[in-house]
Amino acid sequence: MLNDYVKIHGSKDGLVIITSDVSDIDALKEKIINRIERSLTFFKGAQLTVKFRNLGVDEKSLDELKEFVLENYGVNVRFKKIQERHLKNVTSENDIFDGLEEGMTKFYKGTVRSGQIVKYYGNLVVLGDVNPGGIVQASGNIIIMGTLRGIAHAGMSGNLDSIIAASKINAMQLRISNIISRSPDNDIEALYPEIALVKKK
Amino acid sequence: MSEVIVITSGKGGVGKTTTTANIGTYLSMKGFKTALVDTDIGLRNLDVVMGLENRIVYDLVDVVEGQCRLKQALIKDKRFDGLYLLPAAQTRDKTAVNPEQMRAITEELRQDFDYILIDCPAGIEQGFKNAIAGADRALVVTTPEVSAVRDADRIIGLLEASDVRDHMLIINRIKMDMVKRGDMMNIDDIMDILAIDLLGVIPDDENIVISTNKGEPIVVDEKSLAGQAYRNLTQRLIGEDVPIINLDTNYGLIDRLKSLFKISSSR
Ligand SMILES: Nc1ncnc2c1ncn2[C@@H]1O[C@H](COP(=O)(O)OP(=O)(O)O)[C@@H](O)[C@H]1O
Ligand SMILES: [Mg+2]
Repeated sequence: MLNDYVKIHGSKDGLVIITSDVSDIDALKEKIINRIERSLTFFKGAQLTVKFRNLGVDEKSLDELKEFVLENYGVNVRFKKIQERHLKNVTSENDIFDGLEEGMTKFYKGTVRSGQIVKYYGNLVVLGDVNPGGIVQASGNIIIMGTLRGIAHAGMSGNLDSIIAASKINAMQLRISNIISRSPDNDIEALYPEIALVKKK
Repeated sequence: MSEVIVITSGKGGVGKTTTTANIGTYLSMKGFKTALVDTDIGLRNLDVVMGLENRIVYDLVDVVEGQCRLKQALIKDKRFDGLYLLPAAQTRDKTAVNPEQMRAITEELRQDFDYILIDCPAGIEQGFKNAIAGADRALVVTTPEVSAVRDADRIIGLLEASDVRDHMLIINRIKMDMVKRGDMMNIDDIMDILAIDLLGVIPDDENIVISTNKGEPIVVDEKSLAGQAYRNLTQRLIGEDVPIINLDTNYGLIDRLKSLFKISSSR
């Protein structure tokens, strides 16, 4: 049952475990070890970020846990405390957004014109076009109910699973996390809605 | 009730000054008291297009600096009653005036004029900010070129951010033969990107260059198609119901369908 609320995904921060409220250091320890033991080779030598909402675990116990995991499993753990607002899935610059399926979403009405930037630490829906020279950025998914002709950057804080969808994609550039793809130089005009995502190897 | 209308574009050389001169001239021909204000300080040329260069004594910067009264700086047009020009200074630059001062000048002009047209310099810096400061509405001029449309888009965004939300588009220098061959952006392509209302389309016409050099706006020429386009456009500006002049614009749609087929069959 423990694994039900342990989510794992890869990102630029290495592997990340996001777990819910933690009030007991032993429960947290159990969760982490449990997860590591299930795929030891996978974790070996890796950097592991654990995100949780701290409800009364002190720094000293966290440090001890960190030591313990490093010694016994060779995994370097980093703890990241989730703020209240993150529970609503709004992230900040460096936090990986985990609300791709269900999370905070901004609805932007209007055309994003050349020189304008619309940025949101969550999912972003644009009810209009994004013109050449315009930029939309989100830490989650980006959905454009119009033509994307500018630059869209989804998963900007590091989530490779985020997508970019638009009624028509004639984008100058698509960026998902740290992956950039630009439009072919002999661009053919888009005719139907498309979704951009990162190919899994 | 008077209106202050700024003519702007982002990119230079697309026809702001030509448009200001022609709309202004036709407004006065229709009996409206009209003031043209050249805010292109340091690169003035509305006076040349209007053929009034040799009458300049004072200019916009002189008014702002209190060297003269506004009325002294206004030059009366040589052809039409009720048409006046407030020229830009040639020996200064855009920083000689600020937006508050521009707003004060447009407010003062409202007392005496029905329409005040502001000819905006190229760019998005101080000169642009000055030009839009007192404006109720904006006319965004573009040519059917990707770079001009891009700049128009940028300008529309900046106008909206500055709360000038009443804006319309003028497409200048369209060449129907090039559009027909698919060598030029057509009106639909441009409208698709800019997504604002179209006030009018002006054909590319070498007579505009000739008339500009003579200091005689083409709108005065009864027989000219470009003149007709400016007359229609001005009528729509003041709320009269005239159709957008037919420059064979149907070709826009046909072209589109053709290229649709081309693309789908090549996929
Ligand atoms: N429709 C047109 N057809 C041909 N030439 C034009 C047309 N509109 C403008 N021009 C020419 O283009 C040049 C630039 O126009 P101008 O009005 O000075 O542009 P801006 O004020 O935007 O810099 C001028 O030489 C003008 O005569
Ligand atoms: Mg000019």
